[in-house]
Amino acid sequence: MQKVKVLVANRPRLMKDLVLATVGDQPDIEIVGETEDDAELTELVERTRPDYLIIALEEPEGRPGLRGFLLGRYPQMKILAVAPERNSGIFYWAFVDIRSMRVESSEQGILSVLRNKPELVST
Amino acid sequence: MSGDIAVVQVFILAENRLLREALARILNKKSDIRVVGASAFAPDIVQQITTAAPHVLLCDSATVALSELRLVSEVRAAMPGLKVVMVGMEAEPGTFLRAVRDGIVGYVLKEASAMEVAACVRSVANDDAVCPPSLCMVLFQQLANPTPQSAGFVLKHDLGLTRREQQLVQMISRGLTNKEIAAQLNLSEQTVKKPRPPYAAQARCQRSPRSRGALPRARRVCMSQNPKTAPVLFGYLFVQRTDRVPSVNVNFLVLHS
Repeated sequence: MQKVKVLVANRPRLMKDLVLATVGDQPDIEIVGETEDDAELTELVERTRPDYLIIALEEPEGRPGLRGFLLGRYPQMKILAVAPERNSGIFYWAFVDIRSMRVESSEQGILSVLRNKPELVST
Repeated sequence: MSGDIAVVQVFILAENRLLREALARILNKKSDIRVVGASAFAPDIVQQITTAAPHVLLCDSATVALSELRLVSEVRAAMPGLKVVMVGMEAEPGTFLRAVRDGIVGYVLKEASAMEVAACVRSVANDDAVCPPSLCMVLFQQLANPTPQSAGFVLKHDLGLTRREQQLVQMISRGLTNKEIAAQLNLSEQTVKKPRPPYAAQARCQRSPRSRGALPRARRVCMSQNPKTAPVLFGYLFVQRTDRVPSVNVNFLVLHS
């Protein structure tokens, strides 16, 4: 079975551990790496070529530099930026240009994105 | 150690949905921890918690636990043996000290790992306290050079009111007398003693839409801090009129207990 490859790189540590717990328990998803360090991040993406990258959503801009660079370089990859403390997340993907969608930053919200059926946030 | 709890029961009170779900999942994997409830704040949350009867309450929000709602105090009054732990917190001394004063026994920062949360749960269940190293200094300094705060002093200028105080404010703005207030709140109305010099002063007050008279009005109200026991606090409620937005705000000075 082809597993979905996920690189978990959100902050702070406790939120990252929560995402790891959610994602790690799923039989159809494989965690190919984890980091909290931005510098290490690009190197890890290059090495592991995940299907999904999970990063922290930092307002107000949501780190456009990073996502623009990464999606430009790895357009097959999708990015899920999460802010669980605000119960929100944004899912980014590249299709001609960069698209995005708000998703809920709960277990269900995150997993639905990774399984390609993103559920919209209700708020 | 004899007297250690075999399985620590935990209730997770969190606005952060991922924290409720994923942390519950993580903790339930430990053979010595069981999550007996998880919820965001709700009007009946104290009831929910007491029904679930946890040993440890995990809470992720200073807003819910401390400031407006004073939930920690309320829950601890309802369940005296309960250990309250804040998780996912910033290392901000003011919030930390308020939490300590309200009776928490554990404080876990957002940089901590989920394993540290589990370890903290175990420690506090066995009557230890958990304080992050970066905040220990705050505690030490507070003891060495305490900022003026006495146990009887309830409210300062910037923060919200307890539920009781909120009730009081509404009743006063409706023009109820002390007797009527006491009757409604099921308190005994006691003779107000001559006040001793008041502690620090007041906040600005805004106008009550129903306040009468042109002069500032001081209302003396007797209320009990904990309806079940003494001591009784005597307070002065100043409802002053200013030309501001029509809402009621309150200065509450505890004069003596």
